[in-house]
Amino acid sequence: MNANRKADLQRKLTLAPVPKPPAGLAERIKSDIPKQLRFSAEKERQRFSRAITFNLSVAAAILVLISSTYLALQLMSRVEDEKRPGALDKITISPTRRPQLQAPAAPPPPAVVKLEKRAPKKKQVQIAEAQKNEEQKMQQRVEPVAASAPAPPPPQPSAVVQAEGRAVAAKSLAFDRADMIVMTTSPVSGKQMTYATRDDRVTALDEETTRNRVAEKTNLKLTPWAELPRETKLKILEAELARGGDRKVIARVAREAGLNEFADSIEKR
Amino acid sequence: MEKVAPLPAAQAGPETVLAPWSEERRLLAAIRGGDRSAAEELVERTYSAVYASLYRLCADGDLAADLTQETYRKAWEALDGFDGRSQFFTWLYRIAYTTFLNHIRRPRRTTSLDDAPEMPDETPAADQVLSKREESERLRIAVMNLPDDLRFTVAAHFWGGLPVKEIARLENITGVAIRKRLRKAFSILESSLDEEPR
Repeated sequence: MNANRKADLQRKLTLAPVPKPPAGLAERIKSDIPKQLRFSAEKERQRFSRAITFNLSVAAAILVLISSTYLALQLMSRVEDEKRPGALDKITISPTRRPQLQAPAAPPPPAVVKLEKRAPKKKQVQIAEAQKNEEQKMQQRVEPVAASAPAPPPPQPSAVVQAEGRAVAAKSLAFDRADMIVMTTSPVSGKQMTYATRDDRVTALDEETTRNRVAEKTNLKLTPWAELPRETKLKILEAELARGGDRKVIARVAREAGLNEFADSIEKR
Repeated sequence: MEKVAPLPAAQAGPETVLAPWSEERRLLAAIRGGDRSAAEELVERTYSAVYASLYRLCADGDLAADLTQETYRKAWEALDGFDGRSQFFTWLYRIAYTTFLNHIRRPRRTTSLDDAPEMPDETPAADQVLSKREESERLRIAVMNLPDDLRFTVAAHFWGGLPVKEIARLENITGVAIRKRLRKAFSILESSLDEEPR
């Protein structure tokens, strides 16, 4: 666009005549002026505070939304964690499969159950061990009773199943968290056993059901005892000792495996 | 409407429409304090310019008068919200322009842009007057056909008499952006006027 054309356009836009306002327009406008022209500062303040309130409520709503989302996520992850052992609780084990548990099985101590449900992941292995010890103690208590009593009352199947389910769940959890899982033939009992190690603790498993589940889960294969590394053998023997295995047998196996120090320490005990 | 009043920007410049800041603040403070005469003084100072700018937009004297009255009604209602960022007339012009847009968007009261404007009588020969009238009407229609932002800028600057700085303040953009808008508007106007038979 050249300068002349632009100037011409500007001139046309600005210089066009406009009629004067009609007479009385000013009066009409003035008559519309409100009678109360006072604009109070209070009104301004109210509007300002309303705006602030609105902004604050929006911010609060956003905060609530974020925190509730966070909480929901936390809860969901916790529920997922609890679901794992919970699902295993439902495993049905026939009461006839454990004839040695003749005495009426008392429910596990509430402290243990509570711990089992609420303990964080890292403590689950410890819980499993605690539960195992509890079972052993109970078994020891039951055995003399079973021997003296002529006809012990039949076990309550539901209680036994529940207790076994919990034990299986705890053991399975221990396996879930294990650093290493080994399936081998126990040199002490001669049975096929599965051992899980975590943080220098070894958990042994001799129940067929749980063992099969773990084997399915981890695709474990049987490793002959002789092929196991020395350290693993030591840990397994320690576990067997902890389970109440025969000291002499364990010491003999330890010597065969070249773990003389361990064998000595067992014999001295 | 026999006498012809010049556009505020065309003859007297924006200074006459835009009162000095101090004066404007004094009047506004008085109005806020309930001084009716201050409001009347403000009306006296501004209503011709508001009317003129509305007349340029709608090309109808009666309608421009009605819209001017409507503009002031809205202004009194909204005066609490006037924050003083721009000058009072600039703020008032924005209300007038919005009032005009609302009017033309109302279906039943739409004023056809093709209607011949009610122009004042002039002494020159009839054909000369007719030619001028046609030319200015063509220009008005071309302006009205501009995109929204360009139309407002052109109307506010040339018909409302607002300086670039004030329009920029009103639109929350820079003066350079307003000048760009004007350049773009001019080029569109030129091409649209060239398209039509002269």
